[in-house]
Amino acid sequence: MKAIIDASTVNKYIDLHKKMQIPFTMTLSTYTTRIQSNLIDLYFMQTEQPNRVFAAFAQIKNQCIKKPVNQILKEDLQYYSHTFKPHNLYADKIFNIDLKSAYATVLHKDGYIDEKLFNYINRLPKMERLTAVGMLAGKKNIFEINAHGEAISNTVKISETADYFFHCVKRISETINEAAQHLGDAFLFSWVDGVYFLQDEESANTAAEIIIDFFASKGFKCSFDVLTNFEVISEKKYYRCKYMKGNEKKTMNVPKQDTTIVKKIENYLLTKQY
Amino acid sequence: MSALFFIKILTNCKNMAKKYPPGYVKNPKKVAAGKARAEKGIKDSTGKYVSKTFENELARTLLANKGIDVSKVKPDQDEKIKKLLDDAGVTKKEIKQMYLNAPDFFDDLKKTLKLTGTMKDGNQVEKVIDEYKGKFLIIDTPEGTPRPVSKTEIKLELIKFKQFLSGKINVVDFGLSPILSVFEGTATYHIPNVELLLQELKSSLNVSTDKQLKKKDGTEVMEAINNILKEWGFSEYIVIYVS
Repeated sequence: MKAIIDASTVNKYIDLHKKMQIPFTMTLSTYTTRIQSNLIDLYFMQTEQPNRVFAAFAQIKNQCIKKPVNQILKEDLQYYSHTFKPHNLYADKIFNIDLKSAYATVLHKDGYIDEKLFNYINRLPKMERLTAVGMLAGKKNIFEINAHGEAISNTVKISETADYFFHCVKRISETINEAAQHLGDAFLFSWVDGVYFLQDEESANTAAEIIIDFFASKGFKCSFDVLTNFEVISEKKYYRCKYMKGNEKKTMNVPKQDTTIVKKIENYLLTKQY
Repeated sequence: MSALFFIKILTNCKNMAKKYPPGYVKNPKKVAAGKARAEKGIKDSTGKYVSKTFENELARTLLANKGIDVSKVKPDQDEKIKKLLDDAGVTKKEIKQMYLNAPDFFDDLKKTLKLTGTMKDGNQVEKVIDEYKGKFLIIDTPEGTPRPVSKTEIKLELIKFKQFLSGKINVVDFGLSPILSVFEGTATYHIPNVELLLQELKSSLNVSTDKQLKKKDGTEVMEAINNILKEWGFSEYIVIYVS
């Protein structure tokens, strides 16, 4: 049975199992918590994902596994880069080009999913699209609890399809890095599937055309935005970037090459939560 | 209170007691058997016999404690539970004792162990309601007090709500999440009272006729409904999709 997760409900079931000395297994993943025992087999949903998200993921997985992918070393993955200096920076205007449906595009271009599925994924709302693809790298934390209520083991199970997701990350970062080369000194920073650059307006429009053409040659569609009131504040372990996108205030923290932040970025990729 | 009220109460009691014809002599063996059954019954802390659902949940819990997998057995599967108990040699006495060892714990579970089911769309809700064997409660006003209803009554409320959605506003679909009380064996649905909802919707959108309401932009209507449902405390349990 599936239910919406509620901490008090989950805790009550844990209490019941402990009181009645019934051992159980608790599996925690990004979107679900599962309690399995002789008494219950319940899925608690972290957020309510429409069935079409799970349907999309099931199709993505079925198609991907038909074609092998090289093992990807996560430590080699690059999610961001920047040219920030230790001092703060302010610019009235900077420019941003983001890849659209980057992960799905890589899966399609590299022959892991067919055109029909690619088009279906693109019709999903952005967050659902990201969730469906992100499930390829799903990770489960499995806890075994004994009859005395003691956690006796914890195993982490990485999805067998994780390398397909990380292959996408690698290909996107290679493409973004190449785009950064094209931008030269104008390049400010990149973040996952987007580049940010600083130039005068006329040069920026020209640069944007070149970058958009470059991305198109690689099979990617993209969007172009002007960001205003861009500010970089140098903190101890990261650069805090603030800007306006239209009427919306945005903030992002770009690490100062601290590799322990990779885990948080991975979560961001999977959940898109700040 | 009037004397007529007391007379009515007395008459009702007499009617209830009038089970047997005059002069009927009860079979002592049957009486003894009935008393023995009643003694085995589980009473809660208020002295009332617990429901079958509650008893079955206790049975499932005890069976699980004894290492028997009942995770796929539902509390309304009386025959199956009885067979499992017989096969495991578990008696009703043991179930009763388990409850009596921790009555506050189980009574608390009865009151508070609730699951919010995942959202089901219009047609699926009807199927789920049809298949559900427990009791139904409905919350249809902003005050939010659940009231018991029969399966037929809740289906009627659902139909009225669907008619409202398709007749008055341009609805694509809607979804409902029930609150399931595990040990109590109830399902509570939030289905708005359509007259009240219509009134508030018209007021919110500044219209006075159904015709004017139907002409309103779908996005504006959806926002107005969402705000009303949020104010009523319904928004976690009901979602409406307008065109």
